[in-house]
Amino acid sequence: MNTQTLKIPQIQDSLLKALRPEAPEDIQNPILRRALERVESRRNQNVHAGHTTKHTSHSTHSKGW
Amino acid sequence: MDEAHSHKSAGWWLPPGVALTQPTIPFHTFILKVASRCNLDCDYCYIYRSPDVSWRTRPHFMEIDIGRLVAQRISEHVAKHSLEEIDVVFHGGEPLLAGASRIDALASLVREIVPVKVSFGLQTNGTLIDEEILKVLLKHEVRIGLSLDGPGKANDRHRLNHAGKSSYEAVLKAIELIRSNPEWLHLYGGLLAVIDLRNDPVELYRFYSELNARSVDLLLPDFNHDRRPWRKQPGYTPEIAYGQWLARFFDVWFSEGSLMEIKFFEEVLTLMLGGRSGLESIGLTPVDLVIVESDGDIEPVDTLKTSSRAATNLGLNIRSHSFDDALQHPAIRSRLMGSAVLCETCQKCPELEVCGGGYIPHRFREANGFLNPSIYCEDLQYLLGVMRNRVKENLATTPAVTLIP
Repeated sequence: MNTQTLKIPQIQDSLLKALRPEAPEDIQNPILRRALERVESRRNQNVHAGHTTKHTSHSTHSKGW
Repeated sequence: MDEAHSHKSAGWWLPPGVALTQPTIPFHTFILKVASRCNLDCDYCYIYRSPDVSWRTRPHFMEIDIGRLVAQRISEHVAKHSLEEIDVVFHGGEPLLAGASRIDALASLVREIVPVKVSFGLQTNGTLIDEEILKVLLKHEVRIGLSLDGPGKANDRHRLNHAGKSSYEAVLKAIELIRSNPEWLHLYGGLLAVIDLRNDPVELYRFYSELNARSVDLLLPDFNHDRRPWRKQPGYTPEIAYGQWLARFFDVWFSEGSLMEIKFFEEVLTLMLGGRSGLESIGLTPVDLVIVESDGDIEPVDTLKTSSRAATNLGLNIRSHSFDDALQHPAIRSRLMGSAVLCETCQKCPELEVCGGGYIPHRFREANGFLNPSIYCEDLQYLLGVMRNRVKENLATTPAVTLIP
């Protein structure tokens, strides 16, 4: 397992987002893995071309969930 | 558009000195109020128990000619902005009051007229689900979201019919019916629950897990600075009671690494890890959804009905206005402008990028509109702190992660 893959600032609480995983499968908690995968997949979306960016809070039907 | 109305309401949406920018993205989600009445009478309802009583004069159902106009307007919007896919959500009131044949006809019209991929959804209280409607929903691949606040007593604190009778058993039967047929199972999108502090969060988590819900969303009750939420509950600190409740739910869900997706938490984690939000109640990502009422009125998100009719009445109707006209209204455009439209307190807050000011109806005060922190500001700050710590603790013990000293 590559221990250099993921780097997280230990002190700056607000900078968890500095995490840029190249191997989300190394994260053992499936919830965190899903979140990391979502970060990546949304980064690749072209929102203007039609990928919905936000869902109403008062509906849980949504694809992608 | 009624210019006088637009001018008057702009002060609610924009801080002094901030000008509206041109819309950066078009609409992608179109929420159709196919029924404007409900067979339940939930006491927290953001439509039928709200200051906006415009529902009283609206037609009970969306007529087919309105549906056709909506589809044509969507098609026009899709063409103008070169969209490749959109979402259409059947909503209410209770949308299934519109009946299987009307929903079939409306979905068929949209499919026929809109020339791109359309993903359909439906949010229902579940009490009217039967085989006939499920066949129609399967035909159009309509994903179903069901509202259910928890096990019997928890659900029935609020979700009663007009005779004061429970809706619980009917909803459970609907879930069983959907799950009884492998063809229908994939339509089971998720469950929606409004938080009540009297309900035990851990018990609620176990309940939803047993129902094999793929996703669940937990909603803060739609209160604001003029109508404040009840916070006194044994075991909770009043100022952060909702934050503590959510944190307790989060802790059990996160520690078990649940496969059940809790939308609000998933979105917060996505934001904390540097991603974009996919939920309108959190984060700064532009909100690209629009409502069409049963009479064709175009409105911003329906939960704004809890604030004032002035917040939802754009003076626009599908008969005479396009969705691009709606993009020009301050109530819509301001939600595409990120942090620029938030109050000074939010703009200076270290949680700004994750919280995004919280959900817009929770910011309302008659005196200054939406230029306030959320009524749940302290709850959100508490919750985000707990969540961030749990993530850090988890990652600190992950072998692949190196913590920078």
